[in-house]
Amino acid sequence: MGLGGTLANALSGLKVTEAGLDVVSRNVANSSTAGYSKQKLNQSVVDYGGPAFGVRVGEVTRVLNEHLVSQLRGELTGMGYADTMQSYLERLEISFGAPGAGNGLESLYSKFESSLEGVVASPENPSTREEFVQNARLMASGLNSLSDDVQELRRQAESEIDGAVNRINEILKSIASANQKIAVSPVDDPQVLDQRDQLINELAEMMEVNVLPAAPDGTRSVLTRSGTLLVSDVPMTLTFENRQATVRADSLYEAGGLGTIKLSGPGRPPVDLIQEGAFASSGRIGALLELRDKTLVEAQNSLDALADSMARAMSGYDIGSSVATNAGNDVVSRTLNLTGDPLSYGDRISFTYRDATGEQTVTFIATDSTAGAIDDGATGGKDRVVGIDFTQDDATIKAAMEAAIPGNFTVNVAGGKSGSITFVDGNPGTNPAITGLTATATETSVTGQLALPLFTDGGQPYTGSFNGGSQQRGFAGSIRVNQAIIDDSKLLSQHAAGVPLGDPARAQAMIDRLQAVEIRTPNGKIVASDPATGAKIGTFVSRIISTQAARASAANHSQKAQSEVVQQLEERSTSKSQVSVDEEMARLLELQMAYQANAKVVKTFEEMLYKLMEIRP
Amino acid sequence: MKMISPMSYSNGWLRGLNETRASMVDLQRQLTTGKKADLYSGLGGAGSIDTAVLMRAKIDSLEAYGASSDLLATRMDTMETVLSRYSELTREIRTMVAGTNPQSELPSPGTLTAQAKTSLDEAVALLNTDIGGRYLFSGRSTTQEPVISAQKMIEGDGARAGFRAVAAERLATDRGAADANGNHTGRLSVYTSDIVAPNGASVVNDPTTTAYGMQVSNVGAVDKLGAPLASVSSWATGFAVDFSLQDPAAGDAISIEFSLPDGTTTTLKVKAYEGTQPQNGGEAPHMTHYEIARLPDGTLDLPTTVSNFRTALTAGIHKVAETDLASASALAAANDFFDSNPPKRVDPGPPPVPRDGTDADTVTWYRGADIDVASLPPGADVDAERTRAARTAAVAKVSEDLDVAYGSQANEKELRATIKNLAVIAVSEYDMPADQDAYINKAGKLVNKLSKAATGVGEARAAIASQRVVVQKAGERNGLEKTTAENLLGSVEDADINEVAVSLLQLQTQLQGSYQVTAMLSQLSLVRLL
Repeated sequence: MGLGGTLANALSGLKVTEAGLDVVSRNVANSSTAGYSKQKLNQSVVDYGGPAFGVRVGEVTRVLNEHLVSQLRGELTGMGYADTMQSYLERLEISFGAPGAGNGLESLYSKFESSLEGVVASPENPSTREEFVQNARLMASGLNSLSDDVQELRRQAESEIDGAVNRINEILKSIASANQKIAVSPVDDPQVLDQRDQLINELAEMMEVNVLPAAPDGTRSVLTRSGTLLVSDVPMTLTFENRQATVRADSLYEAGGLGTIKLSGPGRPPVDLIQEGAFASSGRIGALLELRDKTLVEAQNSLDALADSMARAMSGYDIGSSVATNAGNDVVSRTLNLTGDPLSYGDRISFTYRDATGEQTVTFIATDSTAGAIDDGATGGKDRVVGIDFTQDDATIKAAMEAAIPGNFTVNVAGGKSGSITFVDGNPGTNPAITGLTATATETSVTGQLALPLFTDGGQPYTGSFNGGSQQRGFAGSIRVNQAIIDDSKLLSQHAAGVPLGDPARAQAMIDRLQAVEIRTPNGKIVASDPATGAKIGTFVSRIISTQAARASAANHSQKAQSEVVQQLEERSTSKSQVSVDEEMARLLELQMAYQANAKVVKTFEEMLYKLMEIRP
Repeated sequence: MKMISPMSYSNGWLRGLNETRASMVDLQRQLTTGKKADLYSGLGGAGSIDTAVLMRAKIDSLEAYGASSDLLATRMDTMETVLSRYSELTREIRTMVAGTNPQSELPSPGTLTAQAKTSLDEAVALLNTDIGGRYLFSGRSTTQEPVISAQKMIEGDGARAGFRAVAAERLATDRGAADANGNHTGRLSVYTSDIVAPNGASVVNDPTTTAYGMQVSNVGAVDKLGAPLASVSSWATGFAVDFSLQDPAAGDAISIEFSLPDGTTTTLKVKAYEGTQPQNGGEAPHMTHYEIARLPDGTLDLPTTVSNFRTALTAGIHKVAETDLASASALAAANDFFDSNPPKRVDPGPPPVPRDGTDADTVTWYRGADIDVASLPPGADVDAERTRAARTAAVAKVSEDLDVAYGSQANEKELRATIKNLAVIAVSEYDMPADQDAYINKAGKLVNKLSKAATGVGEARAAIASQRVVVQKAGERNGLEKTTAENLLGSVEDADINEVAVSLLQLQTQLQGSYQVTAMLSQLSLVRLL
């Protein structure tokens, strides 16, 4: 080797040092940039094919732990879900009222009930009656605003999903363009890689994704959890179809009343990602969908059940049946006489009979032709539920009722829902045998029965009708106090002409029913807050509140736990990839020294060469 | 070796500081509000949330029961006070009636009448007691004063008759027409002429009515040895005496039992004697004697004896009519006026029949709510039904499963008895000493009735008092339950101030330390040394 080799080596050293300086300056400049991964200059020995060795500038690579990054991505999905749940449920809980707050649901209800007790004690006192009417109005408006809050949260969820879908489309486009850049460049640019990681993380927070390992050309494909491709070097497009600007209690996803997310792209048919289960209980969108279609719907259902049972407690009354027996004291028939007490739509006839397996109940609900099939869950009991279109003629009603009960019973109908209905046992004394027949009717006039239509729906007495859909659904939002009672609170005791003002019988009947009324579900079950059978309304109110609170509490805990995990992972991952200025400074010194040393080699080479030149003859 | 990154870039460091600060803010909130959390969800698990929600609901309902109990206690205490005075008043007037001696100057029957009017005023005022516009003895009509004024009750209101007129009307009907001497026979036909009843007399009930006057209900005739007399024949509606069938002998006695308008009976005994006339009285409420007249030859002087008998019988019947019948009539009139709603009047006929008074012609003393007597099944105990209805006219829940029914009506049997008897005394007027017997008779009946009335009021009072005890006990139990519920609520909702203070101190120390270390670390950087 000769001096020339020395110079080449020193020069390569100088070049590497310059490149190292570049990386250090880049690291220092980005020391506080989020998502920036520390970069490292790789260098290698150059073999010039002799004894001389230089140094070569290698690739600049990112310092990061791929495993940690992918774990973090998974946890980000969980955090997106937990954060969103927590934020919505907290808002819902605030609507339901803080402990002891005067406007909380429990407080409104207990005031309603205790002021009714007040009316029982002093029906003649106008201020007692007025207090009750006011409390009833507050209760109704409390239910209205709670119902509005629940629907507003659903509307926000709907609009947030829309925003999220738009953002996902931008992200998918950016990932696709990053993939394209990476695919064409021979050396991967760490900036682009960082950017792509950032985008995937942001996507993961919104929905669970499955990121495939990098292809040989460096591109990475992103799939949904159900395996549908979201992006490779071309982005798919998500659309939020059928988005609703207003959301009401009867806007249900299952019935096509709310938006759904569809994926489409080049060379593939559109697919419904919600149906496919791409968001199930994960990511921000998963949380929003669960809130919109389940959690908040259940909250509304329990409010509706509360409004419904309160209204019926006030206005419902029972009609007994007369019984005919044979010589052996076996029941031959039971007759309901509805003359004077015509059934309203939604009123029920409950027929019980005994067969080999025990007591069976069939509930007939008065409907017209617009009612759909009624679910057995409509009564909240174990009985069979059948809607009977009472606008039909007696023979058709008879046939419809007979179709729902064992064959040895016949039904005689005369005069429809305001006439008489008789159930006859063709074989008295043997199973199946008639054991009972009652009707529950709704008082729609403010005088007559002790029952009182205290609450109305759209100005009409509420009857819990199924005509054209369940009247109960969304009733919490439309329940009002009957204007006739607001105008004349004397109706609270004067249930008929000539009844003295001091008569507590009506208020007494109201409170008795309030504590005994059956709580019904709107054509389906209330899952979380389904009360034990025979629960009083007061207990039901407590149950609604504690259910909401328990959900909010669980969401708080899971959000805290999730964010802890994410932060720890982030810390761990950044402690690896983060720029340490001290380290960079040390590296700077090192480079400075190396540069000086290489420069010294060059200088020495120059001096030596000079010396050589001086030895001239 | 653990690497410590420069503080400004350490996420963990910043998070630690933030969390410590947030905890301090939360602890400060706990210190000022005394509550662990401001929402139920902050209380912890489902168990604590359930406890908090249920206990709050329980406290609310216990407070409502407490308010009901307080209201009830006020009302029931007032009722007890009223009934206590009412019972005292009944006993006072009874003592007064018992102690009045018609022969002495004071207290005379006249004083008694005046006193009864005053007491009636007071009794009415007591029954009209109200609390804040709510009448306590009005049944369901709590806004209606239950009893009209004593003045209107007795004297009537304009064209509408009061008790005095009703009693007078009834008395006139019960007495029947007067005979030629101005004497009354209580609607009995007493035949003493030889044409109708030769050698004796006959007495026959008014065939047109049994609702008014007195009726012969039983006749017994025996000689002094107890053997039946052939001279007396009787049937369901009367009797006849014919001495031609058997000669009268000393000691022969005819006992005539009369049934009276108030449902009681009295007996008149007509006894024969020879020689000295025995004293009246003794064997029966009413005694008269007739002398067996003898001709100089010692044989029976039939015409004189018959005449003596007729005089004694007639006088006896007159006396029964003036005393027992008059008292019974007054009490029956009180029943007509006070027990029935509307009050019963007499349609003079003939024959006289009871009729319902109308709003136009008779005052109704009780104006509160009442049961519809016509709608009760036949044979129902009207007063029992009335009491039942009266109690349920005022009800209140004093605890979870306890309803107290404490309503009352002034026309309940126990309460109206006092009013009735006072009214009877208030309209009684006596012309002493002629009416002495009539007075004594009536006073005897009234003392008895007033004793019963006082007992009745006592029972009504006891019924209220026992309910009052129930209210009190329920209140005490509610108080205990509320304390338990509040303690339980406190245990899940309230922050422990000591714990909070200690935690706060700990955090403060920690935060100070952290800040100091932060300050130190910020000085440590290679950048400063280059």
